[in-house]
Amino acid sequence: MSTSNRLVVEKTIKLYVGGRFIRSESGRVDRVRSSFSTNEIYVSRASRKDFRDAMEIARKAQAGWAGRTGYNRGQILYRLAEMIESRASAFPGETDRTQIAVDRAVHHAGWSDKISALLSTLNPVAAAYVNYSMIRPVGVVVAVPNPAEGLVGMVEAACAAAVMGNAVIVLVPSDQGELAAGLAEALATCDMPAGVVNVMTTDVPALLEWVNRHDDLDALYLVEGAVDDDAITEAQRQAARVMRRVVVVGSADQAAPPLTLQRLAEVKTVWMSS
Amino acid sequence: MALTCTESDIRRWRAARVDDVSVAKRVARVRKRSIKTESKVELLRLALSMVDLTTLEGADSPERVRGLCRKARHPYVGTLGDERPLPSCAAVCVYPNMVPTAREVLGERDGPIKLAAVATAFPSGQLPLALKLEEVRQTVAAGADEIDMVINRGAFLAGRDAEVFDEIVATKEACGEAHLKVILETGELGTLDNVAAASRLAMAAGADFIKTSTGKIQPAATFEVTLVMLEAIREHYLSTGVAVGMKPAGGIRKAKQALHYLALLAEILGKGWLTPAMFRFGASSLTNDLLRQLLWRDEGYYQSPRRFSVD
Repeated sequence: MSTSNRLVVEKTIKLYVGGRFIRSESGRVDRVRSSFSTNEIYVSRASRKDFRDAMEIARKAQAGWAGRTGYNRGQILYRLAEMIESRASAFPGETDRTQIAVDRAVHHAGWSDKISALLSTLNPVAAAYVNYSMIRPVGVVVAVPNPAEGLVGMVEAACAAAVMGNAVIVLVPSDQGELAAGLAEALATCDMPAGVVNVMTTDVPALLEWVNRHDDLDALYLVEGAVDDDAITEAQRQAARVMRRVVVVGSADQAAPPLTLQRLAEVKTVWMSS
Repeated sequence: MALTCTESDIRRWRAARVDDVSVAKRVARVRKRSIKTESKVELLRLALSMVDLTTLEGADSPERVRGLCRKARHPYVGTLGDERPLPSCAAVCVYPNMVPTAREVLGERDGPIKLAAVATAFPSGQLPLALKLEEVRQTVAAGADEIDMVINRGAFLAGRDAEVFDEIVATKEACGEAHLKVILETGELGTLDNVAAASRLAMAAGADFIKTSTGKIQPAATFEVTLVMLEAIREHYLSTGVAVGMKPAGGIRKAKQALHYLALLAEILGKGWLTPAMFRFGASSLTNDLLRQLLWRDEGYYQSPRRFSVD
């Protein structure tokens, strides 16, 4: 049978939340031009209710993820790299950037069982105590990568947050739906526990207003250029209200250095009599 | 003279035939309802005032019970923007051993917050009747306003309905002034037909409330059994003029579930039952979710669960 006679299998790109591919509860979809063909595609648009549901799911998933060994988290992030690699053909014309994304996942996988050794310390104190500091995940993170950085931006944000033991919700504009779907499908097959990394396509600046109003959120990872400066200022202002961490990074050109990763963690200091 | 039942009563109760498919369809329709804005706020407040704040664990300590009583009185420390005080919960529900402790915090009997206690060998009910009645008498004497009893499911499932009936009648007598809630433990009854029959039986025996579950057996409260029980209450009211209350308990954790229960209640029994005197939620974590939704409406910020006291 020639290809032209085939029934077109149209794909509606779903949200990836809690390990499941779901439509928006609002039923809304955006119709956008495909990045990889002449077709138009349908992309689910996450509503504020979808976001609230995802927050509950991420919160539940976070403790289990943080409780795993760094070694195990590294294995899973490494497998994420393998899964993206095997899906590279889904992104024609993006070969180079897909490879960078794969390398980035491998890079973060490598940090998983080393970062705590680097950032934890035995502190000198002038008393008969042992005093040490160790890092703990900050909790649930919303990541807003810069759409201009495509898959690399998404992988960088997701991996930086996840490697520190956080659960993360990645917000992606609808016109990048295919890349988001590629990442979500890799996440679904990489043994990542459900709910640790969630990917939601949406109108990002509009949803960000509701993100700012969700006080259970622990940290916001914003990449400059992802939203305009006013939106970043507003996010910071709202975060100050509830002492929420806002991490603003320049770009995903380079992998997050340890000091940026540290901002996705809390430092816990313990005093013990020696 | 003690209330008795006849063979024909039992045949009438057991004649209940519930159409499971229609029940499921009706529940699905109610659960699609979306209640918004002012109506939502009013219903959330109403739901909060209907909560029987419950702790029924082996690990219950006096301080935990005291904390729960304080929470029932003031579910939330702050005030909301519309300046009406938040309602208190309807009651606190504890094991008999904890009744004196709870009584100290709640003050006089029959105050604004009732003190309910489970009795009759909760949750299984597998104890000789004389011991169960003694438990009820002692619990009431210790200060309980309401008694939540369990029916003898073993006898009910074996078809010894008269025995179940007589136990409820005897328990009601042992309660004296205290209100009697009869727990059917619907998760163990198997079918909706049985739920309807047990509801009829319990109401005929003098239950002031009928209650779905102990919370110790899954499934606990579901919309389906609640619907069947509410319909049984309606039938009982229309034939006898006696209004019996309803208490779904177990597994109700989210405000949205509570709103759907209230929608079901309003649809079947109407306004007369939309009061804590006639309808209760047996729950604990539901309270925090109700507060969370109320604050979200009030402040425009979706709260962290960490903002509310753990009970």
